[in-house]
Amino acid sequence: MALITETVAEYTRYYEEYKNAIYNYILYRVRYDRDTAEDLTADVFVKAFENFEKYDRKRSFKTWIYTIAHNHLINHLTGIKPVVQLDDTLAANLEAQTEHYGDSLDHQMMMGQIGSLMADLPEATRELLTLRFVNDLSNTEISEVLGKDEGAVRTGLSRAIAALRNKYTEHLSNRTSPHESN
Amino acid sequence: MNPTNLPLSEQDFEKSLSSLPRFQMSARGDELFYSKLNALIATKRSERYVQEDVQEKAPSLGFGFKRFAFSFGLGLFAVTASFTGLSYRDSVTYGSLLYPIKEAAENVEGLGAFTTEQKVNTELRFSDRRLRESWQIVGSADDTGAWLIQTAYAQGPVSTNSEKAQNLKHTLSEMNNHVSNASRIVESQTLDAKDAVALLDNITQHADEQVSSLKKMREQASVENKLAVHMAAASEEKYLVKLIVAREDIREVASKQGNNTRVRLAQFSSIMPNQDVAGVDSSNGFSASDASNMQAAQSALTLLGQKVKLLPTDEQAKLSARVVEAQRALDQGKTGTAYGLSIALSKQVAEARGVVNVDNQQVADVHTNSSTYVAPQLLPNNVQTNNSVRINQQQQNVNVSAPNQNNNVRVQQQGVNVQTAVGGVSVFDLLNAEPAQNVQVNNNVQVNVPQQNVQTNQPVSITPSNVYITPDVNVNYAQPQVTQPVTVQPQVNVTMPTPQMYQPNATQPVIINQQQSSQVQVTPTVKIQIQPFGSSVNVGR
Repeated sequence: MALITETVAEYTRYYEEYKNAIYNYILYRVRYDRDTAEDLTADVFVKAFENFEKYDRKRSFKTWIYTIAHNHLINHLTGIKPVVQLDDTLAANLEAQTEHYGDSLDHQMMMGQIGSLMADLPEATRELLTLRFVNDLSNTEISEVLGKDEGAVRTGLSRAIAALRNKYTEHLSNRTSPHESN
Repeated sequence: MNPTNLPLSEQDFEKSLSSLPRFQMSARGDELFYSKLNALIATKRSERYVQEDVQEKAPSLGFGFKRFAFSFGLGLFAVTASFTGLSYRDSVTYGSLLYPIKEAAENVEGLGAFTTEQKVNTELRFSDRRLRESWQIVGSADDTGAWLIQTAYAQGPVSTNSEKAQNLKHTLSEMNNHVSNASRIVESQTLDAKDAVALLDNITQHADEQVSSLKKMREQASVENKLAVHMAAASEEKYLVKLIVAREDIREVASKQGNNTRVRLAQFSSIMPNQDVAGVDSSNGFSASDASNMQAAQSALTLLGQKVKLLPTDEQAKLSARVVEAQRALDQGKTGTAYGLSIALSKQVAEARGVVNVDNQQVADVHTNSSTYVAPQLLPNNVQTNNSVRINQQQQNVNVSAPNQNNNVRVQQQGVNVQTAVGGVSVFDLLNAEPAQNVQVNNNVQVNVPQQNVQTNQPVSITPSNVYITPDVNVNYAQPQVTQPVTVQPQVNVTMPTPQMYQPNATQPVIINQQQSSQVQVTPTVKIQIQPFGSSVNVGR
């Protein structure tokens, strides 16, 4: 068994590398509740440390930690009704963040709207979109994390994108319809 | 792209999703993780790791060496740990399991500083970290993690409160040390005046903020920890005073001789060495309550403001701004900064009046016959400036040398308090901390008309009784009986050991130390009469 000193050093390096990724993964899953996301992120990494000696070094740490986060979220969300709705603060938060991308105000507005609409999607759909577009995981990695085959992930993602796009189109039409009626 | 009018194509929409915002986890998240990890490791160690790790590494050695071996092991990977940002975790405090990693990482971090500025900034950064760690310790509950670790090692219960207090004391001490190190780095350099001022400015700003923070910490600390925090604040404040004085002195040099004037900082900082700054402490200084400090500083500053108003216009304008700066610091409760500025200011005021004699040699009588020489507000009884009496006062010896041709009255004082001269204002106490400098106090000098004839080489009768000479000497020198200038070369010193009680009507011989007596010409004779404390001392001829 490795000395604990070496173990801690190795693990804290992993933590610093992946903490924001796991935090974002959880944040999008808990409807942007930051405190909850931070609590769960800490729990995930502590839980992973408890099992770190069992971690197979041949396997990617990235998919291993996402798997732990996925399972931890399932436990957390089971029996818990989402009570935190996307509010103006979150919308403003999302819009403020998009400034970092140097995009136009229209784009910022759009990302705020999409973020808002994502929060209303089913849990599994939201998870797929988050892993793919927020965490930048490949289909192969997603399939490993979720324990599904790659084809299922690909199909699920296509459907998720379509669902979100439909919601967005619907959202736009609802906004433009009053003008059209005039 | 106009999302309000045009539905996106599938490709554009998917592309847009890639720019969904990513968030950075806050410091709170890190705190949560590291505190939980710390507790978990402590538990694991107490269960298993201690035996497997430490005993394996040092099976036959004592507890102290085991701990050292473990700490050394942690240090070995400090280089990699430094990249994890561990050294920036304020939650990792002295006594916690991860602290040796943090210390080792900081050692590595310190190696990256090459220039004076970088070295100073590194020390200040470490000092700020110690301050934040102190806040963590003060604000934390019982340090369970440290207790667990300690228990695991020592195999016995440890007083949690005592451990916490010790950790805080150590951390605060380290904080002071880092500021001290930054100070020493600067002092060892010879720099352009403007660079020196910038470096000192940086250190004093840090120290100033740390003192303010420590004062708040002192309020919140438990009774057990209040003293440690107070002592740390006092220590920091002393450095602050010292550095501000040096900074202002160098700033003055820069204003007179140019920004690029090379200055050796040790020369300036040694003006007020630590032990003399500590004198501030004993003279109702920083060990006193905040309110008391504020009052003393305010009194000193008020006096300085009055003195500044008596200076020539150009000096007045320059130094008034300094008074305002010091007053602003005082209003903000920054007594250390106010003290430092007041000390520097008082020196500048004295220099502007031409009354500072650094090397204790000949003093130029700049302000003879000048109305600005004596502050009317402070001296209702004006000095008769048409006569020349110089009183050199050193500790308990009063040397009266008189008269010379400069028509001046001067008291040179070294190492004694003259509080009564300025109404108990401690600024002079502070000035007395500078051994190389003579402070001239004119405001309490009065010269009386001589009553009797005194001839050199003859005993001098001293009446009346109960003459008690303290540092607060009032010498009245009234209208002279002298019609012609008197030349004394060298000075004739009348040495009177004081304090000493003289009996009524007793005649005390006064030893007149006359050097090169053959050259002494005294015409006419001089009478010195010293009266009881509280009344006047007569110096006559």
